[in-house]
Amino acid sequence: MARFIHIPMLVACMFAPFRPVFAQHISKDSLYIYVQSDTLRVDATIASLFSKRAIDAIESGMTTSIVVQFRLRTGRGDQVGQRGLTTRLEHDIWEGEYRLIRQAAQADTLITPRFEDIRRGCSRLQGLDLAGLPLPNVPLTLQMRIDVNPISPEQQERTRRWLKILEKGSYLEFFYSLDSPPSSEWVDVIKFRPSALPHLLEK
Amino acid sequence: MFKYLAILCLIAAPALAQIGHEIEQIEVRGNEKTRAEIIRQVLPIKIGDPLREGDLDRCRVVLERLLLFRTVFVNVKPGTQKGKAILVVYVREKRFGTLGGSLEYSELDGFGLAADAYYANLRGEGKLIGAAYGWRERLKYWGFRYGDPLFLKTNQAFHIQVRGSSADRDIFRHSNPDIRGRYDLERIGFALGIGQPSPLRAYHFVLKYAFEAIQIGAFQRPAIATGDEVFANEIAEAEGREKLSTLALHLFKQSTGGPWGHGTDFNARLTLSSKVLGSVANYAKFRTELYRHQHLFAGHILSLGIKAGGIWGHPPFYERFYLDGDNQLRGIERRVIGPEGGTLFFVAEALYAVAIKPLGRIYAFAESGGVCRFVNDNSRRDAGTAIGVGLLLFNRIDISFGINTGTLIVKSHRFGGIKFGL
Repeated sequence: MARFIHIPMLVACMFAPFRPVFAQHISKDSLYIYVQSDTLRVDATIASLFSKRAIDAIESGMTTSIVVQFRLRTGRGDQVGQRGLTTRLEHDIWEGEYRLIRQAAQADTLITPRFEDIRRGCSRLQGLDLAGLPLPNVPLTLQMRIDVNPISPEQQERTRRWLKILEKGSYLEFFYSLDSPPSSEWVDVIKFRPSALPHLLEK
Repeated sequence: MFKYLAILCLIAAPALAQIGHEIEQIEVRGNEKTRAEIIRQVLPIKIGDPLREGDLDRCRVVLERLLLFRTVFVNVKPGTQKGKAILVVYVREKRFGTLGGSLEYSELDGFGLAADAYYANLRGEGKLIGAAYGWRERLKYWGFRYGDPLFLKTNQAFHIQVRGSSADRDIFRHSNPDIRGRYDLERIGFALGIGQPSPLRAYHFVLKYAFEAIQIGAFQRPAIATGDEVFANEIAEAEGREKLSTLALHLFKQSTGGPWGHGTDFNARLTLSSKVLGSVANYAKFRTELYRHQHLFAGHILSLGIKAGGIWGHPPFYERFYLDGDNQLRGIERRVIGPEGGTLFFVAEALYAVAIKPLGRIYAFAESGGVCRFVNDNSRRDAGTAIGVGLLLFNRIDISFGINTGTLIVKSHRFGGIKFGL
């Protein structure tokens, strides 16, 4: 029988003062860290994933990239695991249709006319693997970083062109723009000791 | 040529489903500092207008030209009734402005560095102030600029520029600099412009007044007598300082697809100079250019273009048309044709380009250019033709070779740089 431990947690998303104020966090009741099949996994629900700016962009029909990353660090700052989840959200505003594409080994797509379905689909993380066992039996800190970036078609094209040119190592096209916003910062989610985690049996 | 262009126009991209819908609302999103009505007013499409092909791109280009935004995205969604649509504009603003620096090259002025800085969106009204400086082997320039996209709350864009430049110019082409002769041309002055989109949406009108103090100096007579020395004498007589005061009407349309993109570029400028305005000479100058870039099939572009101009009256020699700078030909060295400049000029070219990703494009071209000038009731005409091939590297460096002339020309603009969006 599966047994979970409920770990209370609090995330304070602190962004630099000049950045828009986001309230992305994982609610107390929704975070579960457990071991399953020699893998440390997490279930979580991110609250307030989309800022007003992001919603404006999505409602304008811009494609949006959503990257959620977790990492585990020891008290000395050594990194013992990092995992991320990348999702692309497209919105055809003429047809009124959202398309959420999860870019993973097993990609899946959600198509819906309701933004609430999209919000749920992006916010709920189930069984995301954080690291393989064994882990050092020292207090670990789980950190999270979330980037929700609207990308216009022109930016996508520029990015594609850049990637191609960088691959070729050309310096003639070194026309670099520092307009893109910096990535968000890592924030602490919770501290725990691996030996105290529950083990979830496979069905 | 127009018949051929008309046929090419029929191969246009397929129309979108939204075309023809009447705009019932313009929704502005993402703006924090910039007032929504500023954005609505500068758009070339208004509530009640039917949506036409290319309108979304035109709106995007108009907003990008304001230099206020990092990101501009324009889209359309269904309206509340059948046949109506809502235009949705999303912008992400720059917090401060832009700082930029780059390398430059041109056949006329050589290699150089350029730097510019803009502070955008004063008081959330889209106003912009900026400064630019450039240093090239044969040209130095600086300038300050103030622009207001909605002057006095009207739909008129207003700008004022204060600028100066100092150029080192040859009198004739010759490999030996001691033989060809030279002079310095310095300009310092200001320009005021007021403009607005035309009812045809894609076109813009600008009415501009400019005043410049022109200084001609450091004259060195060519070591060999050419063309009865008429040109050299003309420059020698003009040595010193004089004033040029002009009123110009500028009508232009630019394609929205970027350099070498699909579409039409059109540009016409009528400049009037009069002693009544305090100018050194009375003359009228007209210059126009029309280019059509047509995608024939994937990666293949046919470009047909013509530039032409005329000056009537008694213009100073530096206001004549020369086949260099903006009029540089692909397979012919600058000023080999008509080094004395002309009061009439033309350039016609056809170019067939094939994309080679990710390098750029290779192309074949045929071009012809010429100038004509009347001296003592005799016309001095000079013209030339070149056929050749070329390579456009990364859409920035244009290297062409005239097969019949054996001339290599490098036409490029800013070819490397860095831009800080602040």
